[in-house]
Amino acid sequence: MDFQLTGKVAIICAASKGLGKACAEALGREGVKVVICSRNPDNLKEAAEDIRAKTGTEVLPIACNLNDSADRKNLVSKSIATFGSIDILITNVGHPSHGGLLELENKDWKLGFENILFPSVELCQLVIPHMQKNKWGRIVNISSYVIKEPSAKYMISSVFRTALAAFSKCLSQEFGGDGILVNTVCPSLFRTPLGERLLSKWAEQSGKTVAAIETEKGSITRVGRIGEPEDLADVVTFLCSKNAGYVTGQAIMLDGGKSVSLF
Amino acid sequence: MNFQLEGKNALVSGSTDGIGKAVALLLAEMGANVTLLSRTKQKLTAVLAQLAKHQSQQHDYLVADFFDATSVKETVKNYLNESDKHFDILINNTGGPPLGAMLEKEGTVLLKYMSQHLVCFHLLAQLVVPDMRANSYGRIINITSNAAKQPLPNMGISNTIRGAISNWSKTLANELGNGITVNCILPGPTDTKELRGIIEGKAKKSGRSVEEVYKVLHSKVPLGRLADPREIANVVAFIASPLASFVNGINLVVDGGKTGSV
Repeated sequence: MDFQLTGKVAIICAASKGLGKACAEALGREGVKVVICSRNPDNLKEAAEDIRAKTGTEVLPIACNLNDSADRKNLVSKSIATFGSIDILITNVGHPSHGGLLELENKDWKLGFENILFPSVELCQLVIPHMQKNKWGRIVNISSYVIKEPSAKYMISSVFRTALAAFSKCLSQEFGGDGILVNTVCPSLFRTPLGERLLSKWAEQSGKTVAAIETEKGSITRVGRIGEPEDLADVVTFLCSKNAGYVTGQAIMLDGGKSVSLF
Repeated sequence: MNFQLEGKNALVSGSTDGIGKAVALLLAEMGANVTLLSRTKQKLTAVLAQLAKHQSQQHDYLVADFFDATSVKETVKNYLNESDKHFDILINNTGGPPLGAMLEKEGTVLLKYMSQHLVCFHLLAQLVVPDMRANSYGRIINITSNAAKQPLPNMGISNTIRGAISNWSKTLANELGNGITVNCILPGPTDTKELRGIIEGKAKKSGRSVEEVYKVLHSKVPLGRLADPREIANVVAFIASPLASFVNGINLVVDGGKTGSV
């Protein structure tokens, strides 16, 4: 199936590892030129070489702290300076402080807004005018299954990732007429650096092996395993393709059936 | 991207028109062996002739009327018993129920369409799941309507049935596992013969021109247009593929952004 993505330009956030890197590889295999960013220049360089070797596509690595507005602006302007356009934006942000209401401090809430919601808001603001020029754009915001089933354990994540889904929905309405499709994908536990850290932590806390914890967590999904980054990357790539031309404004669960509510 | 559908066997119901036909054509194009299931033999043979055929692909058809759930069950059951065929993919899809105010519908009418949709989908799932379990691969994809998420005016029977199917589908997704996923695709306004009929009826009833009715409908969709049946089929094919193995128990709305809720 030709997704007709050859020659498009994508910015993929947090793409030196995990979900972002898998998206960059999957899009790269479809002939998309990829701009990857990450805070750590060494990881970024290594990822760029690996993506080039695997896909043969052009890769532009840009060191960037997504929580910093100047860095976000630099990311977009350098992408434009190099490739001349931006067709695809995949946002992917860090993980906020854990804890319930009485443990969280005001600064945690402020950081939740600044680090979970606002990076996507500003990046969209920066890239959409370029997409409008071509009457074509794809934005996929990577959120979390907690938007469907908020968890008191992950309060800040639940609140701001839900806001991200609402933001995506608004964008889909505002820019549908420009041929810009905006969707959110909502992963559960995936085999990413963060996922692996969580598995180790739970193993330590429970005295079980990491493998035993992974089996437990996997069995909750109904698919019988935790998510692999490629599971998400394939869905994201599909959403960017011409095949998904009528899919916009959706928050798509990628949880193997873990979330128990219907909507 | 390779959808890896070569050699998979798909049973596609309601496949002589509209979205079902588009799904059958696309799955065949992608290398699946397609069994069509609809009520009119003449239409079935016409669609069969249009299915792409590479190398060893085998397509065929079954005749059964979804208004007769027993015959749907017996037809597919006999087919499975008499051949060595199994199905990897079940596409549940059938014609839309009649319009009209909900309260005015007779109980018998509600039962009739509940049987055409929910009961037939259920009986078909019962028939195909044993082989899916044996092969640790299965895709049950129910094509319903965005009405399952956001009830549409004057379409009470459809709204009710679609909602029931979403819950039925989610329940099965929870029960099955073992490589079998169960999902619903909820199309929004799609350019099919069925929708064209509804639009013409609406125009006639309201004294407006057909163009005006289309214009109002387009204005409700952020993308400003209807879907081509092929665009719904594209999503169905992706969900049917091994690439979507972690997508389970969802209701995926394909409506150009029309539905208001997140």
